[in-house]
Amino acid sequence: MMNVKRSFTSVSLIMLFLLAVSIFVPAESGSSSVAVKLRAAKHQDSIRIVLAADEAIVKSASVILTKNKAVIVDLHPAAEAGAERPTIAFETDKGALTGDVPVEIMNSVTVVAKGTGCIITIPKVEDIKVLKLQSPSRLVIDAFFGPAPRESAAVPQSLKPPAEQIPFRYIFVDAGHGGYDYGIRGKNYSEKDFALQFSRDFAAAFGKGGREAQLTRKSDQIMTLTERIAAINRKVPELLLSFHLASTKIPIIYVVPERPEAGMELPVASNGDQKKREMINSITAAIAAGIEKEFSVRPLKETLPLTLLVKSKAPAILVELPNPDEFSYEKKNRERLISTILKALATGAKEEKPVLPPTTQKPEPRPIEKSADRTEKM
Amino acid sequence: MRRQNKVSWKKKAVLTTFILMLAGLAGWLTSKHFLFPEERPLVEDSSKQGKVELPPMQSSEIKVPITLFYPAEDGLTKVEKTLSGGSVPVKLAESVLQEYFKGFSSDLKNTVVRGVYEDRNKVLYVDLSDDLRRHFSGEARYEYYLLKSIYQTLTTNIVEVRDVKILVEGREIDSLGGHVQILMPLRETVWY
Repeated sequence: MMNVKRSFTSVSLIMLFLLAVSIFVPAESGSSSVAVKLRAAKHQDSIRIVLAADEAIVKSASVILTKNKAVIVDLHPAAEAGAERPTIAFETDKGALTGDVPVEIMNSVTVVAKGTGCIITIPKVEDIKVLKLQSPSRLVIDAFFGPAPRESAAVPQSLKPPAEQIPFRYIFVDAGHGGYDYGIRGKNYSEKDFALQFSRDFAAAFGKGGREAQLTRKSDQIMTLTERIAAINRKVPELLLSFHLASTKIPIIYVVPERPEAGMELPVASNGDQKKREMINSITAAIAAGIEKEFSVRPLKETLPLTLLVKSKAPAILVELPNPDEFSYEKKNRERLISTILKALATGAKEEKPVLPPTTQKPEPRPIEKSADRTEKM
Repeated sequence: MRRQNKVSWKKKAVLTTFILMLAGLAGWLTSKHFLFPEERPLVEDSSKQGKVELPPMQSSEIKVPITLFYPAEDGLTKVEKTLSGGSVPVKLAESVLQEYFKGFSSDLKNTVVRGVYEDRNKVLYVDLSDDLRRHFSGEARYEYYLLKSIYQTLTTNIVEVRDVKILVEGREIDSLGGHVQILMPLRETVWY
Protein backbone atom coordinates (compact mmCIF):
# COMPACT_ATOMS: atom_id res chain seq x y z
CA MET A 1 0.00 0.00 0.00
CA MET A 2 2.84 2.33 0.95
CA ASN A 3 4.60 1.51 -2.33
CA VAL A 4 1.54 2.43 -4.33
CA LYS A 5 1.26 5.72 -2.44
CA ARG A 6 4.95 6.47 -3.04
CA SER A 7 4.81 5.79 -6.75
CA PHE A 8 1.64 7.90 -6.99
CA THR A 9 3.43 10.77 -5.23
CA SER A 10 6.48 10.52 -7.50
CA VAL A 11 4.29 10.48 -10.64
CA SER A 12 2.48 13.55 -9.33
CA LEU A 13 5.79 15.29 -8.71
CA ILE A 14 6.99 14.53 -12.25
CA MET A 15 3.74 15.84 -13.65
CA LEU A 16 4.04 19.03 -11.59
CA PHE A 17 7.63 19.49 -12.77
CA LEU A 18 6.60 19.09 -16.41
CA LEU A 19 3.76 21.58 -15.90
CA ALA A 20 6.17 24.09 -14.36
CA VAL A 21 8.61 23.63 -17.26
CA SER A 22 5.84 24.17 -19.80
CA ILE A 23 4.79 27.38 -18.03
CA PHE A 24 8.20 28.93 -17.54
CA VAL A 25 9.89 27.89 -20.77
CA PRO A 26 8.48 29.99 -23.63
CA ALA A 27 6.06 27.97 -25.71
CA GLU A 28 7.74 28.95 -28.97
CA SER A 29 11.32 28.66 -27.88
CA GLY A 30 12.18 27.35 -31.34
CA SER A 31 10.75 30.33 -33.19
CA SER A 32 12.17 33.85 -33.22
CA SER A 33 10.39 36.80 -31.73
CA VAL A 34 10.28 40.31 -33.13
CA ALA A 35 9.69 43.31 -30.92
CA VAL A 36 7.44 46.05 -32.27
CA LYS A 37 6.85 49.28 -30.38
CA LEU A 38 3.46 50.82 -31.02
CA ARG A 39 2.69 54.43 -30.20
CA ALA A 40 -0.22 56.70 -31.00
CA ALA A 41 -0.65 60.46 -31.07
CA LYS A 42 -3.70 62.60 -31.72
CA HIS A 43 -3.62 65.40 -34.27
CA GLN A 44 -6.31 67.86 -35.29
CA ASP A 45 -7.95 65.77 -38.04
CA SER A 46 -6.15 62.52 -37.63
CA ILE A 47 -4.52 59.99 -35.37
CA ARG A 48 -0.94 58.98 -36.05
CA ILE A 49 0.05 55.43 -35.17
CA VAL A 50 3.73 54.54 -35.33
CA LEU A 51 5.04 50.98 -35.30
CA ALA A 52 8.81 50.84 -34.83
CA ALA A 53 10.33 47.57 -36.06
CA ASP A 54 13.15 46.08 -38.10
CA GLU A 55 13.54 47.37 -41.64
CA ALA A 56 12.62 44.02 -43.21
CA ILE A 57 9.43 43.85 -41.18
CA VAL A 58 8.46 47.42 -42.07
CA LYS A 59 9.15 46.78 -45.76
CA SER A 60 6.93 43.71 -45.93
CA ALA A 61 4.16 45.25 -43.83
CA SER A 62 0.69 45.49 -45.27
CA VAL A 63 -1.96 47.86 -43.93
CA ILE A 64 -5.61 47.60 -44.82
CA LEU A 65 -8.58 49.73 -43.80
CA THR A 66 -11.72 47.62 -43.61
CA LYS A 67 -15.33 48.73 -43.92
CA ASN A 68 -15.72 48.17 -40.16
CA LYS A 69 -13.30 51.02 -39.42
CA ALA A 70 -10.57 48.61 -38.43
CA VAL A 71 -6.99 49.04 -39.57
CA ILE A 72 -5.44 45.61 -40.11
CA VAL A 73 -1.66 45.62 -39.91
CA ASP A 74 0.07 42.48 -41.14
CA LEU A 75 3.77 42.65 -40.48
CA HIS A 76 4.86 39.45 -42.12
CA PRO A 77 2.45 38.69 -44.89
CA ALA A 78 4.93 37.26 -47.36
CA ALA A 79 5.98 34.20 -45.35
CA GLU A 80 6.02 31.06 -47.41
CA ALA A 81 3.66 28.27 -46.46
CA GLY A 82 5.34 25.97 -43.98
CA ALA A 83 8.08 28.48 -43.18
CA GLU A 84 8.49 29.47 -39.57
CA ARG A 85 6.93 32.84 -38.94
CA PRO A 86 8.42 34.98 -36.20
CA THR A 87 6.10 35.87 -33.37
CA ILE A 88 5.45 39.56 -32.94
CA ALA A 89 5.70 41.04 -29.45
CA PHE A 90 3.83 44.33 -29.41
CA GLU A 91 4.72 46.88 -26.77
CA THR A 92 2.51 49.90 -26.19
CA ASP A 93 2.61 52.72 -23.65
CA LYS A 94 -0.22 50.92 -21.88
CA GLY A 95 1.62 47.60 -21.73
CA ALA A 96 2.26 44.58 -23.93
CA LEU A 97 -0.42 43.07 -26.17
CA THR A 98 -1.20 39.55 -25.06
CA GLY A 99 -3.57 37.04 -26.54
CA ASP A 100 -6.86 38.40 -27.79
CA VAL A 101 -7.12 41.10 -25.12
CA PRO A 102 -7.64 44.53 -26.67
CA VAL A 103 -5.65 47.40 -25.22
CA GLU A 104 -6.98 50.95 -25.38
CA ILE A 105 -4.03 53.04 -26.51
CA MET A 106 -6.04 56.25 -26.78
CA ASN A 107 -9.61 57.36 -26.24
CA SER A 108 -11.73 54.62 -27.88
CA VAL A 109 -8.77 53.51 -30.05
CA THR A 110 -8.02 49.87 -29.30
CA VAL A 111 -5.36 47.47 -30.48
CA VAL A 112 -5.42 43.70 -30.38
CA ALA A 113 -2.64 41.36 -31.50
CA LYS A 114 -3.70 38.95 -34.23
CA GLY A 115 -1.46 36.40 -35.92
CA THR A 116 1.57 38.18 -37.33
CA GLY A 117 0.06 41.60 -36.93
CA CYS A 118 -2.56 43.54 -35.08
CA ILE A 119 -5.98 45.08 -35.54
CA ILE A 120 -6.40 48.73 -34.61
CA THR A 121 -9.99 49.89 -34.21
CA ILE A 122 -10.47 53.61 -34.73
CA PRO A 123 -14.07 54.83 -34.63
CA LYS A 124 -15.09 57.23 -37.43
CA VAL A 125 -11.89 56.70 -39.42
CA GLU A 126 -12.51 57.49 -43.10
CA ASP A 127 -9.15 57.12 -44.77
CA ILE A 128 -5.60 56.12 -44.00
CA LYS A 129 -2.21 57.11 -45.32
CA VAL A 130 0.66 54.70 -44.82
CA LEU A 131 4.33 55.67 -44.81
CA LYS A 132 7.32 53.39 -44.47
CA LEU A 133 10.14 55.46 -43.02
CA GLN A 134 13.76 54.80 -42.13
CA SER A 135 16.25 55.90 -39.44
CA PRO A 136 14.77 54.48 -37.31
CA SER A 137 12.74 52.13 -39.48
CA ARG A 138 9.04 52.56 -38.73
CA LEU A 139 5.61 52.17 -40.18
CA VAL A 140 3.52 55.30 -39.87
CA ILE A 141 -0.24 55.11 -40.23
CA ASP A 142 -2.17 58.36 -40.37
CA ALA A 143 -5.86 57.68 -39.78
CA PHE A 144 -8.05 60.54 -40.99
CA PHE A 145 -11.62 61.31 -39.99
CA GLY A 146 -12.28 62.65 -43.47
CA PRO A 147 -10.56 62.20 -46.84
CA ALA A 148 -6.80 62.08 -46.47
CA PRO A 149 -5.04 65.19 -47.78
CA ARG A 150 -2.99 64.26 -50.82
CA GLU A 151 -0.01 65.97 -52.30
CA SER A 152 -1.27 66.81 -55.73
CA ALA A 153 1.15 66.29 -58.54
CA ALA A 154 2.44 69.68 -59.54
CA VAL A 155 2.25 69.51 -63.30
CA PRO A 156 4.62 71.84 -65.18
CA GLN A 157 2.68 74.63 -66.85
CA SER A 158 4.17 73.82 -70.28
CA LEU A 159 2.81 70.28 -70.17
CA LYS A 160 -0.47 70.98 -68.41
CA PRO A 161 -3.46 70.86 -70.76
CA PRO A 162 -5.89 73.73 -70.29
CA ALA A 163 -8.80 72.54 -68.15
CA GLU A 164 -11.37 73.17 -70.86
CA GLN A 165 -9.52 70.88 -73.31
CA ILE A 166 -10.21 67.74 -71.31
CA PRO A 167 -13.74 66.75 -72.27
CA PHE A 168 -14.32 64.46 -69.28
CA ARG A 169 -15.88 65.75 -66.08
CA TYR A 170 -16.07 62.53 -64.09
CA ILE A 171 -13.76 59.54 -64.46
CA PHE A 172 -12.75 56.52 -62.38
CA VAL A 173 -9.11 55.80 -61.62
CA ASP A 174 -8.38 52.23 -60.63
CA ALA A 175 -5.22 51.40 -58.71
CA GLY A 176 -4.45 47.77 -59.53
CA HIS A 177 -4.00 45.02 -56.93
CA GLY A 178 -3.99 45.79 -53.15
CA GLY A 179 -4.00 43.96 -49.84
CA TYR A 180 -2.45 40.51 -50.12
CA ASP A 181 -2.34 40.87 -53.89
CA TYR A 182 1.03 42.56 -54.33
CA GLY A 183 1.24 42.38 -58.11
CA ILE A 184 4.78 42.63 -59.43
CA ARG A 185 7.36 42.92 -56.66
CA GLY A 186 10.73 44.57 -56.98
CA LYS A 187 13.57 45.30 -54.60
CA ASN A 188 12.10 48.54 -53.31
CA TYR A 189 8.55 48.54 -54.53
CA SER A 190 5.42 46.52 -54.96
CA GLU A 191 2.94 47.08 -57.76
CA LYS A 192 0.03 47.61 -55.38
CA ASP A 193 1.75 50.51 -53.58
CA PHE A 194 3.08 52.03 -56.76
CA ALA A 195 -0.29 51.85 -58.51
CA LEU A 196 -2.03 53.44 -55.53
CA GLN A 197 0.39 56.34 -55.27
CA PHE A 198 0.36 56.98 -59.01
CA SER A 199 -3.44 56.77 -59.15
CA ARG A 200 -3.77 59.23 -56.28
CA ASP A 201 -1.42 61.68 -57.96
CA PHE A 202 -3.18 61.28 -61.27
CA ALA A 203 -6.62 61.72 -59.70
CA ALA A 204 -5.43 64.84 -57.88
CA ALA A 205 -4.03 66.34 -61.09
CA PHE A 206 -7.17 65.48 -63.05
CA GLY A 207 -9.42 66.83 -60.30
CA LYS A 208 -8.30 70.43 -60.78
CA GLY A 209 -10.69 72.74 -62.59
CA GLY A 210 -13.97 71.30 -61.33
CA ARG A 211 -13.46 67.78 -62.66
CA GLU A 212 -13.64 64.69 -60.50
CA ALA A 213 -11.62 61.49 -60.54
CA GLN A 214 -12.87 58.81 -58.18
CA LEU A 215 -10.51 56.12 -56.97
CA THR A 216 -11.67 52.50 -56.81
CA ARG A 217 -9.46 51.99 -53.75
CA LYS A 218 -8.05 54.69 -51.53
CA SER A 219 -5.76 52.61 -49.36
CA ASP A 220 -3.91 49.31 -49.33
CA GLN A 221 -7.02 47.21 -49.28
CA ILE A 222 -8.16 43.96 -50.82
CA MET A 223 -10.54 44.68 -53.67
CA THR A 224 -11.58 41.90 -55.99
CA LEU A 225 -12.29 42.50 -59.66
CA THR A 226 -15.95 41.80 -58.91
CA GLU A 227 -16.00 44.62 -56.32
CA ARG A 228 -14.18 46.99 -58.64
CA ILE A 229 -16.60 46.35 -61.48
CA ALA A 230 -19.57 46.82 -59.15
CA ALA A 231 -18.17 50.14 -57.89
CA ILE A 232 -17.49 51.42 -61.41
CA ASN A 233 -20.81 50.31 -62.89
CA ARG A 234 -22.78 51.82 -59.99
CA LYS A 235 -21.53 55.28 -60.98
CA VAL A 236 -20.96 54.80 -64.74
CA PRO A 237 -18.17 57.34 -65.22
CA GLU A 238 -17.22 58.80 -68.59
CA LEU A 239 -13.93 56.90 -68.60
CA LEU A 240 -12.08 54.27 -66.58
CA LEU A 241 -8.30 54.35 -66.34
CA SER A 242 -6.69 51.41 -64.55
CA PHE A 243 -3.04 51.76 -63.57
CA HIS A 244 -0.69 48.79 -63.19
CA LEU A 245 3.01 48.13 -63.71
CA ALA A 246 4.76 46.49 -66.64
CA SER A 247 7.63 44.09 -66.01
CA THR A 248 9.96 46.11 -68.26
CA LYS A 249 10.46 49.78 -69.05
CA ILE A 250 8.09 49.49 -72.00
CA PRO A 251 4.58 50.51 -71.00
CA ILE A 252 1.66 48.45 -72.27
CA ILE A 253 -1.75 49.92 -73.02
CA TYR A 254 -4.62 47.45 -73.06
CA VAL A 255 -7.93 47.96 -74.79
CA VAL A 256 -10.90 45.66 -75.28
CA PRO A 257 -10.97 43.62 -78.53
CA GLU A 258 -13.50 43.96 -81.29
CA ARG A 259 -16.88 42.49 -80.61
CA PRO A 260 -16.98 38.95 -82.03
CA GLU A 261 -19.60 38.01 -84.59
CA ALA A 262 -22.98 36.98 -83.26
CA GLY A 263 -22.71 33.44 -84.58
CA MET A 264 -19.60 32.78 -82.57
CA GLU A 265 -21.57 32.55 -79.29
CA LEU A 266 -18.92 34.45 -77.46
CA PRO A 267 -19.36 37.12 -74.83
CA VAL A 268 -19.95 40.67 -75.87
CA ALA A 269 -17.97 43.35 -74.11
CA SER A 270 -20.40 45.71 -72.44
CA ASN A 271 -18.22 48.67 -73.33
CA GLY A 272 -17.27 47.30 -76.70
CA ASP A 273 -19.59 49.30 -78.91
CA GLN A 274 -18.07 51.01 -81.89
CA LYS A 275 -18.34 54.60 -80.72
CA LYS A 276 -16.75 53.96 -77.35
CA ARG A 277 -14.02 51.88 -78.96
CA GLU A 278 -13.20 54.67 -81.39
CA MET A 279 -12.79 57.05 -78.49
CA ILE A 280 -10.65 54.56 -76.58
CA ASN A 281 -8.49 53.92 -79.63
CA SER A 282 -7.80 57.61 -80.20
CA ILE A 283 -6.99 58.21 -76.51
CA THR A 284 -4.75 55.13 -76.49
CA ALA A 285 -2.94 56.37 -79.58
CA ALA A 286 -2.52 59.78 -77.99
CA ILE A 287 -1.12 58.28 -74.76
CA ALA A 288 1.31 56.13 -76.76
CA ALA A 289 2.42 59.05 -78.92
CA GLY A 290 2.80 61.32 -75.88
CA ILE A 291 4.90 58.81 -73.93
CA GLU A 292 7.07 58.13 -76.97
CA LYS A 293 7.65 61.83 -77.53
CA GLU A 294 8.34 62.67 -73.89
CA PHE A 295 10.31 59.61 -72.81
CA SER A 296 11.60 58.05 -76.06
CA VAL A 297 9.92 54.75 -75.20
CA ARG A 298 7.40 53.27 -77.61
CA PRO A 299 4.50 51.75 -75.64
CA LEU A 300 2.94 48.49 -76.77
CA LYS A 301 -0.74 48.33 -77.52
CA GLU A 302 -2.42 45.08 -76.50
CA THR A 303 -5.95 44.09 -77.37
CA LEU A 304 -7.17 41.60 -74.80
CA PRO A 305 -10.50 40.91 -73.09
CA LEU A 306 -9.28 41.69 -69.57
CA THR A 307 -12.09 41.63 -67.05
CA LEU A 308 -12.17 45.34 -66.20
CA LEU A 309 -12.14 46.30 -69.87
CA VAL A 310 -14.90 43.86 -70.78
CA LYS A 311 -17.23 44.32 -67.85
CA SER A 312 -16.94 48.04 -67.23
CA LYS A 313 -19.91 49.95 -68.61
CA ALA A 314 -17.61 52.92 -69.04
CA PRO A 315 -15.02 53.04 -71.82
CA ALA A 316 -11.93 51.58 -70.23
CA ILE A 317 -8.16 51.60 -70.70
CA LEU A 318 -5.66 49.64 -68.63
CA VAL A 319 -2.17 51.10 -68.57
CA GLU A 320 0.86 49.17 -67.37
CA LEU A 321 3.38 51.88 -66.58
CA PRO A 322 7.15 51.43 -67.04
CA ASN A 323 8.77 49.26 -64.38
CA PRO A 324 10.48 51.36 -61.66
CA ASP A 325 13.59 49.17 -61.92
CA GLU A 326 14.12 50.44 -65.46
CA PHE A 327 12.45 53.84 -65.40
CA SER A 328 13.09 56.78 -63.12
CA TYR A 329 10.05 57.92 -61.20
CA GLU A 330 11.69 60.88 -59.59
CA LYS A 331 9.29 63.77 -59.03
CA LYS A 332 9.81 65.53 -62.35
CA ASN A 333 9.43 62.38 -64.45
CA ARG A 334 6.33 61.30 -62.55
CA GLU A 335 4.75 64.70 -63.17
CA ARG A 336 5.64 64.55 -66.84
CA LEU A 337 4.07 61.11 -67.14
CA ILE A 338 0.85 62.26 -65.46
CA SER A 339 0.79 65.34 -67.62
CA THR A 340 1.34 63.31 -70.78
CA ILE A 341 -1.66 61.10 -69.98
CA LEU A 342 -3.80 64.14 -69.13
CA LYS A 343 -2.83 65.74 -72.42
CA ALA A 344 -3.71 62.51 -74.23
CA LEU A 345 -7.18 62.61 -72.70
CA ALA A 346 -7.63 66.05 -74.20
CA THR A 347 -6.17 65.38 -77.65
CA GLY A 348 -7.44 61.79 -77.95
CA ALA A 349 -11.03 62.67 -77.19
CA LYS A 350 -10.82 65.65 -79.57
CA GLU A 351 -9.53 63.50 -82.43
CA GLU A 352 -12.26 60.93 -81.99
CA LYS A 353 -13.07 59.61 -85.40
CA PRO A 354 -16.59 59.25 -86.83
CA VAL A 355 -18.32 55.95 -86.19
CA LEU A 356 -17.37 53.30 -88.73
CA PRO A 357 -19.67 50.46 -89.78
CA PRO A 358 -19.09 47.32 -87.74
CA THR A 359 -16.39 45.07 -89.10
CA THR A 360 -17.42 41.91 -90.91
CA GLN A 361 -14.10 40.22 -90.31
CA LYS A 362 -13.72 37.67 -87.58
CA PRO A 363 -11.16 38.67 -85.00
CA GLU A 364 -7.86 37.07 -85.89
CA PRO A 365 -6.86 34.29 -83.52
CA ARG A 366 -3.79 34.97 -81.44
CA PRO A 367 -0.60 33.50 -82.85
CA ILE A 368 0.35 30.06 -81.61
CA GLU A 369 4.00 29.56 -82.14
CA LYS A 370 5.66 26.23 -82.32
CA SER A 371 8.87 26.79 -80.51
CA ALA A 372 11.63 24.57 -79.29
CA ASP A 373 13.16 27.24 -77.08
CA ARG A 374 9.95 27.72 -75.16
CA THR A 375 11.59 28.11 -71.79
CA GLU A 376 13.54 31.13 -72.96
CA LYS A 377 10.31 32.86 -73.86
CA MET A 378 8.86 32.30 -70.43
CA MET B 1 -54.83 -7.21 -13.50
CA ARG B 2 -53.78 -3.57 -13.76
CA ARG B 3 -50.18 -4.64 -14.28
CA GLN B 4 -51.19 -6.95 -17.16
CA ASN B 5 -53.01 -4.06 -18.85
CA LYS B 6 -49.91 -1.89 -18.50
CA VAL B 7 -47.68 -4.53 -20.13
CA SER B 8 -49.99 -5.05 -23.03
CA TRP B 9 -50.03 -1.26 -23.60
CA LYS B 10 -46.23 -1.28 -23.74
CA LYS B 11 -46.23 -4.22 -26.15
CA LYS B 12 -48.69 -2.39 -28.36
CA ALA B 13 -46.46 0.69 -28.47
CA VAL B 14 -43.37 -1.35 -29.38
CA LEU B 15 -45.28 -3.22 -32.06
CA THR B 16 -46.65 0.01 -33.56
CA THR B 17 -43.19 1.59 -33.65
CA PHE B 18 -41.79 -1.52 -35.33
CA ILE B 19 -44.55 -1.53 -37.96
CA LEU B 20 -44.01 2.19 -38.64
CA MET B 21 -40.26 1.61 -39.08
CA LEU B 22 -40.92 -1.28 -41.47
CA ALA B 23 -43.33 0.86 -43.47
CA GLY B 24 -40.80 3.68 -43.63
CA LEU B 25 -38.05 1.34 -44.82
CA ALA B 26 -40.32 -0.14 -47.47
CA GLY B 27 -41.27 3.33 -48.68
CA TRP B 28 -37.65 4.46 -48.87
CA LEU B 29 -36.59 1.35 -50.79
CA THR B 30 -39.49 1.74 -53.24
CA SER B 31 -38.70 5.40 -53.92
CA LYS B 32 -34.97 4.70 -54.28
CA HIS B 33 -35.23 1.83 -56.74
CA PHE B 34 -38.48 2.36 -58.61
CA LEU B 35 -39.75 5.91 -58.37
CA PHE B 36 -36.43 7.89 -58.41
CA PRO B 37 -33.67 5.65 -59.71
CA GLU B 38 -30.16 7.03 -59.04
CA GLU B 39 -29.04 9.56 -61.62
CA ARG B 40 -25.50 10.05 -62.90
CA PRO B 41 -23.72 12.23 -60.33
CA LEU B 42 -23.27 15.89 -61.23
CA VAL B 43 -19.56 15.75 -60.63
CA GLU B 44 -17.50 12.68 -61.29
CA ASP B 45 -14.32 11.97 -59.41
CA SER B 46 -11.23 11.14 -61.42
CA SER B 47 -9.92 8.57 -58.95
CA LYS B 48 -13.29 6.79 -58.75
CA GLN B 49 -13.60 6.63 -62.54
CA GLY B 50 -10.08 5.35 -62.93
CA LYS B 51 -10.64 2.50 -60.53
CA VAL B 52 -13.88 1.39 -62.11
CA GLU B 53 -13.03 1.57 -65.77
CA LEU B 54 -9.33 0.89 -66.08
CA PRO B 55 -7.05 -1.29 -64.02
CA PRO B 56 -3.99 0.71 -62.95
CA MET B 57 -1.57 -1.48 -64.90
CA GLN B 58 -3.48 -1.06 -68.11
CA SER B 59 -3.75 2.74 -67.80
CA SER B 60 -0.03 3.24 -67.22
CA GLU B 61 0.84 1.16 -70.26
CA ILE B 62 -1.03 3.41 -72.69
CA LYS B 63 1.18 5.98 -74.44
CA VAL B 64 -0.77 9.08 -75.39
CA PRO B 65 0.61 11.85 -77.62
CA ILE B 66 -0.26 15.20 -76.08
CA THR B 67 0.12 18.87 -76.96
CA LEU B 68 0.94 21.32 -74.20
CA PHE B 69 0.44 25.06 -74.60
CA TYR B 70 2.42 27.63 -72.67
CA PRO B 71 2.04 31.38 -72.22
CA ALA B 72 4.39 33.59 -74.20
CA GLU B 73 4.61 37.35 -74.65
CA ASP B 74 2.33 37.51 -77.64
CA GLY B 75 0.29 34.33 -77.50
CA LEU B 76 0.91 30.69 -76.81
CA THR B 77 3.73 28.33 -77.64
CA LYS B 78 3.15 24.63 -77.98
CA VAL B 79 5.13 21.55 -77.07
CA GLU B 80 4.42 17.99 -78.26
CA LYS B 81 4.97 15.17 -75.80
CA THR B 82 4.06 11.57 -75.14
CA LEU B 83 2.46 10.66 -71.87
CA SER B 84 1.76 7.42 -70.07
CA GLY B 85 -1.83 7.70 -69.05
CA GLY B 86 -5.28 6.25 -69.15
CA SER B 87 -8.04 6.78 -71.64
CA VAL B 88 -10.51 7.98 -69.00
CA PRO B 89 -10.91 11.73 -69.63
CA VAL B 90 -10.53 12.98 -66.05
CA LYS B 91 -7.60 10.68 -65.38
CA LEU B 92 -5.90 11.78 -68.58
CA ALA B 93 -6.62 15.45 -67.79
CA GLU B 94 -4.92 15.06 -64.43
CA SER B 95 -1.82 13.52 -66.03
CA VAL B 96 -1.76 16.17 -68.76
CA LEU B 97 -1.94 18.98 -66.20
CA GLN B 98 0.80 17.46 -64.08
CA GLU B 99 2.99 17.31 -67.17
CA TYR B 100 1.96 20.87 -68.08
CA PHE B 101 3.12 22.36 -64.78
CA LYS B 102 6.43 20.47 -64.98
CA GLY B 103 7.20 22.54 -68.08
CA PHE B 104 7.50 25.87 -66.24
CA SER B 105 10.88 27.24 -65.33
CA SER B 106 9.38 29.56 -62.72
CA ASP B 107 7.93 28.57 -59.33
CA LEU B 108 4.66 27.76 -61.08
CA LYS B 109 6.18 24.32 -61.62
CA ASN B 110 5.42 23.64 -57.94
CA THR B 111 1.69 23.81 -58.60
CA VAL B 112 0.06 20.57 -57.52
CA VAL B 113 -3.01 19.14 -59.22
CA ARG B 114 -5.30 18.36 -56.29
CA GLY B 115 -8.00 16.78 -58.42
CA VAL B 116 -9.90 16.86 -61.69
CA TYR B 117 -13.65 16.39 -61.93
CA GLU B 118 -16.10 16.50 -64.79
CA ASP B 119 -19.72 17.54 -64.59
CA ARG B 120 -22.69 16.53 -66.74
CA ASN B 121 -22.16 19.53 -69.02
CA LYS B 122 -18.63 18.39 -69.90
CA VAL B 123 -17.08 21.13 -67.81
CA LEU B 124 -13.78 20.05 -66.32
CA TYR B 125 -13.21 21.28 -62.75
CA VAL B 126 -9.51 21.56 -62.15
CA ASP B 127 -8.52 21.85 -58.50
CA LEU B 128 -5.01 23.26 -58.15
CA SER B 129 -2.81 24.10 -55.19
CA ASP B 130 -2.42 27.67 -53.99
CA ASP B 131 1.09 27.70 -55.48
CA LEU B 132 -0.50 28.79 -58.74
CA ARG B 133 -1.85 32.00 -57.18
CA ARG B 134 1.05 32.55 -54.79
CA HIS B 135 3.79 32.18 -57.37
CA PHE B 136 2.04 34.09 -60.10
CA SER B 137 3.65 37.42 -60.79
CA GLY B 138 3.41 39.19 -64.05
CA GLU B 139 1.69 41.49 -66.43
CA ALA B 140 -1.95 41.28 -67.43
CA ARG B 141 -1.16 39.61 -70.73
CA TYR B 142 0.89 36.89 -69.04
CA GLU B 143 -2.01 36.10 -66.71
CA TYR B 144 -4.39 36.00 -69.66
CA TYR B 145 -2.17 33.68 -71.70
CA LEU B 146 -1.49 31.48 -68.68
CA LEU B 147 -5.22 30.88 -68.29
CA LYS B 148 -5.62 30.44 -72.01
CA SER B 149 -2.80 27.91 -72.08
CA ILE B 150 -4.49 25.81 -69.38
CA TYR B 151 -7.79 25.94 -71.27
CA GLN B 152 -6.16 25.18 -74.60
CA THR B 153 -4.07 22.33 -73.19
CA LEU B 154 -7.07 20.60 -71.68
CA THR B 155 -9.54 21.14 -74.51
CA THR B 156 -7.00 20.05 -77.12
CA ASN B 157 -6.02 16.82 -75.38
CA ILE B 158 -9.32 15.78 -73.87
CA VAL B 159 -11.68 15.78 -76.79
CA GLU B 160 -15.00 15.64 -74.99
CA VAL B 161 -14.27 18.60 -72.69
CA ARG B 162 -16.33 21.70 -73.48
CA ASP B 163 -15.06 24.06 -70.81
CA VAL B 164 -12.60 24.34 -67.96
CA LYS B 165 -13.16 25.81 -64.52
CA ILE B 166 -10.25 26.53 -62.18
CA LEU B 167 -10.47 26.01 -58.45
CA VAL B 168 -7.68 26.80 -56.02
CA GLU B 169 -7.49 24.53 -52.98
CA GLY B 170 -11.04 23.43 -53.72
CA ARG B 171 -12.47 26.94 -53.82
CA GLU B 172 -13.50 29.46 -56.40
CA ILE B 173 -11.23 32.50 -56.41
CA ASP B 174 -11.79 35.87 -58.04
CA SER B 175 -8.50 36.05 -59.89
CA LEU B 176 -5.01 34.59 -60.02
CA GLY B 177 -3.08 37.82 -60.39
CA GLY B 178 -5.60 40.64 -60.27
CA HIS B 179 -6.20 41.09 -64.01
CA VAL B 180 -8.52 38.32 -65.18
CA GLN B 181 -11.55 37.03 -63.33
CA ILE B 182 -11.83 33.25 -63.06
CA LEU B 183 -15.12 32.88 -61.24
CA MET B 184 -16.67 31.55 -64.44
CA PRO B 185 -15.44 28.70 -66.64
CA LEU B 186 -12.59 29.84 -68.87
CA ARG B 187 -14.14 29.51 -72.32
CA GLU B 188 -15.95 32.83 -72.07
CA THR B 189 -12.87 34.53 -70.69
CA VAL B 190 -10.10 33.39 -73.01
CA TRP B 191 -11.97 33.61 -76.29
CA TYR B 192 -9.63 36.09 -77.96
